[in-house]
Amino acid sequence: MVHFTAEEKAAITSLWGKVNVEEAGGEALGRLLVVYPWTQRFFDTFGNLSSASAIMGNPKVKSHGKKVLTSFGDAVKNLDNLKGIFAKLSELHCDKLHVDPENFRLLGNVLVIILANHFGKEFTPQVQAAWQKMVTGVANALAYKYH
Amino acid sequence: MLSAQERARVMQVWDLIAGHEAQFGAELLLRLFTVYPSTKTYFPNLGACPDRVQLLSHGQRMLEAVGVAVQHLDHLRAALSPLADLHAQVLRVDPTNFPLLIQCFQVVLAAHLQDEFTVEMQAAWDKFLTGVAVVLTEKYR
Repeated sequence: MVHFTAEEKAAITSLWGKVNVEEAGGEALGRLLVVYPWTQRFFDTFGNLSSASAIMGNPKVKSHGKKVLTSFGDAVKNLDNLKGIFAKLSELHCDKLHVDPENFRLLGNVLVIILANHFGKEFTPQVQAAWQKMVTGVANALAYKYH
Repeated sequence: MLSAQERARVMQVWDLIAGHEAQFGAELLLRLFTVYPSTKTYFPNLGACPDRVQLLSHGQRMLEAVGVAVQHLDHLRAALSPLADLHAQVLRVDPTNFPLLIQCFQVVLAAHLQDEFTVEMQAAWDKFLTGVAVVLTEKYR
């Protein structure tokens, strides 16, 4: 069970408050699909993923990205119970979506990079550390129900 | 390995770093040690709490090596051979640590380059740094 200190929780929640979930979600998923093209394997029905600009502008990518990041928002509000919050989603990703949990780690890392890009100096090493811990916690929670 | 476009992007980003190797390197190491404290085990010479002077000095050395790689994108193996020997025989950094360094490198680039850190830049640098890591660990066994 991952434990967040008061400082880590503050770093996570205060930054999250300033994130545009819709934009950041689309950007995170888009960058994942561009930087790690093999992740496109899960999105055959998404239409045009033929170039970086096609991917970043793809409406299905943006919409799905928003959905994914909205879930992250739930995690931010429940840092003490990530496994509980993601139990159902974990089963879904294993049983129906068949997603290798390594993809959760990749997306988490891309999200951290996007936050660094948006927040610049404010994204200090300590803030990064809190967020890397957060995305690792989410990835592990999503992998927890795999069997 | 890298396409012509990817090479151009690698060089474009390097132009923004060149001349500031020490500062970028110091921030890279500070992030690495803060976010992934176990990586400090590979730097006993820097001690448990490296100071700014140490980070600048070692950071500069590391970024200068990255600069060498950037100048020799066509023959990374040859250019990095002495460093590959060093990592295989002396440093023996477990290969799982290189992705941690690469993550911190991307964070430094993203934080400093802001709008210039396009998705194409990120993709090219991720591919390039991963290639460097492969070369540095290739002689391990």
